[in-house]
Amino acid sequence: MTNQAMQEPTFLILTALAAGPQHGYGIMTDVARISGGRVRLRAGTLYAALDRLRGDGLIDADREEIVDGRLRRYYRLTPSGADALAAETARMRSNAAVATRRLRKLAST
Amino acid sequence: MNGPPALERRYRRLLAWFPAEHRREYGEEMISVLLASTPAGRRRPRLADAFDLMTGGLRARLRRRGAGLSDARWPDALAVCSAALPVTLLAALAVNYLWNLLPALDFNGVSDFYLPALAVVLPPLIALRYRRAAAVAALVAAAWFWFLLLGSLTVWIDGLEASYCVALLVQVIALAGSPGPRRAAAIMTWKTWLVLSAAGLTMGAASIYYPWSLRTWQAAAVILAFLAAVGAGLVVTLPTPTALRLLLLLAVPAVPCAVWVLQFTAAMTGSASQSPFPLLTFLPVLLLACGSAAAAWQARHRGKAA
Repeated sequence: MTNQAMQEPTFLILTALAAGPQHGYGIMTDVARISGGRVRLRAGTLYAALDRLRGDGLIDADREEIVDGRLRRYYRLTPSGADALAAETARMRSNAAVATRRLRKLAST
Repeated sequence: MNGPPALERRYRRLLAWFPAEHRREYGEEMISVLLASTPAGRRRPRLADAFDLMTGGLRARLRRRGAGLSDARWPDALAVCSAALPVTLLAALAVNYLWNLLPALDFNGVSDFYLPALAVVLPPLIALRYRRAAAVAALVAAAWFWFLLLGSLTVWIDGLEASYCVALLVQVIALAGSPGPRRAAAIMTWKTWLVLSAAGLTMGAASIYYPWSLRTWQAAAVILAFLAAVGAGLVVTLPTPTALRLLLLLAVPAVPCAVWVLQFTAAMTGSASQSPFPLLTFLPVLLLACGSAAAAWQARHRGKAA
C-alpha cells in the first residue's frame, strides 16, 4: 500500500460497504446518498472499480442471489479494505484539522 | 421465442467493450444493475451510460493488459536482457572490427573499437557490484552515442548505428529495472550464451558479407529466418515467460535495424528510391520501450489506492 490518496469513488464505495454487504445497485444508490447526490456512479465505472478493488483484496464477494431471474451479487469489505478506509479517513481528518486551524488563524487576523 | 428486450440487447452490445473475462465475471450482474437504474419506458441506453460503459471497458482492458505486462517475470527478463545485449553486440562489434583490422595488420584503428566496446560491456560489469551506477553509466553511454548520431542527421542516418543507440537505451532500462547480470547468470544456461554469441557473430559477419544484390523479399526472408532462429533458440534455452518478454525487449532495437536493412536493400537493387532512414520507424519501438519501462515500474510501485 502506498501513501497515495484514495480516489473519491473508491472511498465512497468502501464507505458504502462499511455499513455491511451490498449488491451493485445498492452500492450505486448508497454512494449517491453518502455524497449528497454529488457522485453518481454508473455501471461501467462501478464494476471497473469493484473488479480493481477485488483484485487489490480490499473487497470480496459475499453471496449471490437470484431476484426476478436476475443475478445479484453482494460485496463486503475485507479486513484490508477496512484498514485502507481507516487509514484514508485518518489522513483526511488530519488534513482537515490543519486546514481548520489555519482558517481560524486567518479569520482572527 | 422472444429474445431479450431491445434495451437489454443494446446494453449487452455495449458490454462487448469489456474484456471477455470481465463479462463472464460481471456481465449478468451489470445487465441487472443497468436495467434497474434505467428509467422505465426507455428503449435505448442513455448516452452517458453508453459512454461510461465504453470508457469503463477500455479502462478494464488497459488494466488487464498492464497487469499482464507488469507481473513479476519482467525483472527476470530485464536481467537476462542486461546480459544478452552486451554479449550480442560485443560479438558483432568484434567480428566487424577484427575483419577490418587484421588483414592489414593495422591496429591504429583499434582505438575506435574501445569506446563502443566499453559502452556495451562496462555497465553490466559495474552492475555486478553497483547497479544504479551501472544504469547511470549506460545512460551516459547511450546519450553520448545519440549525440554522435544526431550530429550526422543532416547527411544520412545509419540504421545500424541508430539501432545500436536504441539498444543502449534498452540496456539502461534493463539495468535500472532488474536485479542485474548476476540474476541473468542464474537464469541463463551455456546454451543461451551460445545462442546469443552466435547471433552476434552472425550479425557481425552479415555487416561484412551482406549480399546487397538480394531482392527485397529475399532479404526479408533471410532476416525473418535469422530472427526466428534466434527467437527459437532463446525460447528453447530459457523459461518461456522470461524468453517471451526478452524477445519483446530485444525487438526494440532489432525491428528498426531489420527495417533499415530492407530499405537499404531495396535502394541498392533499385526497387525503391534511396531515402534516409525514417526516424518514424523508431516511434513505435520507443513507445514500446517506454511502455515496458512503465509496466515494470508499475509492478514495483503498484499502489492499492485506486
